[in-house]
Amino acid sequence: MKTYLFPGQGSQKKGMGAGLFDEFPELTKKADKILGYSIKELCLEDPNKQLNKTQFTQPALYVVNALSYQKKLKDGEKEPNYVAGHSLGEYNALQAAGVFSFESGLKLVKKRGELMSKAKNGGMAAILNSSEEQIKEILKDANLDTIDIANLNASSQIVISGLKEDVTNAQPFFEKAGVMFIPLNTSGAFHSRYMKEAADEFEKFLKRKRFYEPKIEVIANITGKPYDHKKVSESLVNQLYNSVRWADGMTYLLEKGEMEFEELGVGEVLTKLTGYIKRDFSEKEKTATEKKTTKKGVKKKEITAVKSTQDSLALVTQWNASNPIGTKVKSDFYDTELETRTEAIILFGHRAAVYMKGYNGYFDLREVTAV
Amino acid sequence: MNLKKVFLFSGQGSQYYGMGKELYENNKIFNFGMNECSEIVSAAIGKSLIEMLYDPAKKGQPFDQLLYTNPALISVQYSLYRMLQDMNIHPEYFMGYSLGEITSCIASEMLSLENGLNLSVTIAKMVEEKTPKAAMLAIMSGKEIIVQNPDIFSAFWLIATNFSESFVVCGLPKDIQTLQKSLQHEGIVSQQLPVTNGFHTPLIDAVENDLKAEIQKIQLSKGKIPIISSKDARIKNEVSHNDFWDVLRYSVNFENAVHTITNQHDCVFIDLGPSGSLATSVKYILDADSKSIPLQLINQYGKNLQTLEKFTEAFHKYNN
Repeated sequence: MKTYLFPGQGSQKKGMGAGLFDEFPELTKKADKILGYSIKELCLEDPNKQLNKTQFTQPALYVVNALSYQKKLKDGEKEPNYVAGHSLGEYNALQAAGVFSFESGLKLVKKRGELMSKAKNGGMAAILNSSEEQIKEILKDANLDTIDIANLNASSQIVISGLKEDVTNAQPFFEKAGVMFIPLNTSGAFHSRYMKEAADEFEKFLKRKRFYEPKIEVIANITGKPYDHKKVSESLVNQLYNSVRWADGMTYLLEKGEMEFEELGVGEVLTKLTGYIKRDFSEKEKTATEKKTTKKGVKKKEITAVKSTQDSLALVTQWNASNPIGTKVKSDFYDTELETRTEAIILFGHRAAVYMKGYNGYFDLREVTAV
Repeated sequence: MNLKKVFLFSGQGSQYYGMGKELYENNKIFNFGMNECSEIVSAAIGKSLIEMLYDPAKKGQPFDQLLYTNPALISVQYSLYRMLQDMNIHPEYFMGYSLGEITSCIASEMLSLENGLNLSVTIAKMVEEKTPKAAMLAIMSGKEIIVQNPDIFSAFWLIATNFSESFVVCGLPKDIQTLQKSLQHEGIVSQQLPVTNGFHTPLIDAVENDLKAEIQKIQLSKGKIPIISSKDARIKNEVSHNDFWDVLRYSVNFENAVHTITNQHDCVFIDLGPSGSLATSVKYILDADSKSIPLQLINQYGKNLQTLEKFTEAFHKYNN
């Protein structure tokens, strides 16, 4: 089985779509007419430095994604079994599935880009090595429940979205918890409650539009499940101010069995992401099998990331209460006696660690015992 | 043109042996400031700050011992500040980067020069004694690279954003070469910084309680001139004791801080740091159509008197 994936905002770069515009002059001409400027010039030369502005980024990516799909068909490739696209890319998935034409899709995307570009004072940040539960807990502790989860890209890669000031204020709370917090350069709080106004406006715009039944199964961002073709308009409106559940969608496809993913358009953001989602998926599968075979192990496997952080914290506190710096210890991996040169600490948000004299690297606290 | 003057104070990583030497030899005010600082800290660091910093034999060697670099950075930038005051150039704001936030507070008179310098020595002693060695790498790329390649960054912390295409990570020394190689493989330029402890990461948590207790003893006052923090991009007229810990422990977002102030005013940013690196960052942060400008006072290539003259010329061109 095969799935084509279409990337969204963030994948754009100058030079994208080279060759495609000349290969599909008709579609390129139609795009120019709808947009009122040369799409080829924007993508290849970007003379006015507009490619990174949302209202230009979205139509540009949509056109490049769509043309690269046309190219596949022209080269004699079969239609895939599934299509999915990340945020803006979802429009390409729907277009490939025949829900709307190339031109209608571009008109939708143009409007969407314009509405989204009006959102100001927003901020977004990627959170690595955490979990949806932990993020929600941290936001609650920090009294920042005005921040929403924008993308669940993989279990270890989640994007949050909110007012710029709130996102800035959230940073130390995440850093204290030891997870990686990466502020992203965006102007709007995409996929958050702050897009509701834009979504309402978009809804009015969509009222006059007609959508056809998809001939390829499309995986929806907001559910991670196949599209309900009667609710296309509703899904596209909701997508603007709700989480993109990308990992759920990919996991749904992986559960179908042997699945080949191919990313169209530009870059390899989704391909890399698929690698992580596959890894999580096979770990989950493994755990599920282990659960079936070992009855005793069941409870232990269900411990969440949050729980293990708390365990590490307890371990560290316990260790520091009874083992001062200079404590002689034995490690599972060294024959000689070692001596601690620091107190125990939490590394990377979860690992209980301690440092030894004469050694640069950390020692896992679970692998050492005081002599 | 009515540009607001923002004085920038840099942090660890921007230091080198011999910084400001020509000014020390030729500018009375700078010389006086440096001597004053040296007198305050020399007992605590066990040697003369001036002799150590301007020792000709040390020129070109890596200058990375926290015990000396911390007070040296504050001393040079404080003395440059005194020199600018004497030139009748007075700021509307101070903006500090990491350790530079302490210099901001000294310049704004939120804490005394003596307390500020001694605090920097206390920090150095505690961190060097009780926390593991670490390494820092400045990376010339957008931060998206971390999101796209989480595996190669898994042992690191993002500790600072300089501008959209430059950020800093910190990790353990044994991991840094692997990261550098992986980045090279991706065609990304990176440079190790002369800082050997894990500031802005949990690696320094071991000194949190002791350091906070020391900071608590310091007398703080309301500032004379507002400061802009590069930790949270807030404009402040006073700081709390815990702020000093927070600026060392949490990450720096210099880009954000610059945007905060340029959203309100057109500014002339004057970099009092020894290597002009903050002025360079500002240059990249400003929008193409911005009326704000960055200026540097001195840099690591010496010829302080020439660069100072160039600065004065540029400053008066924009500020009349």
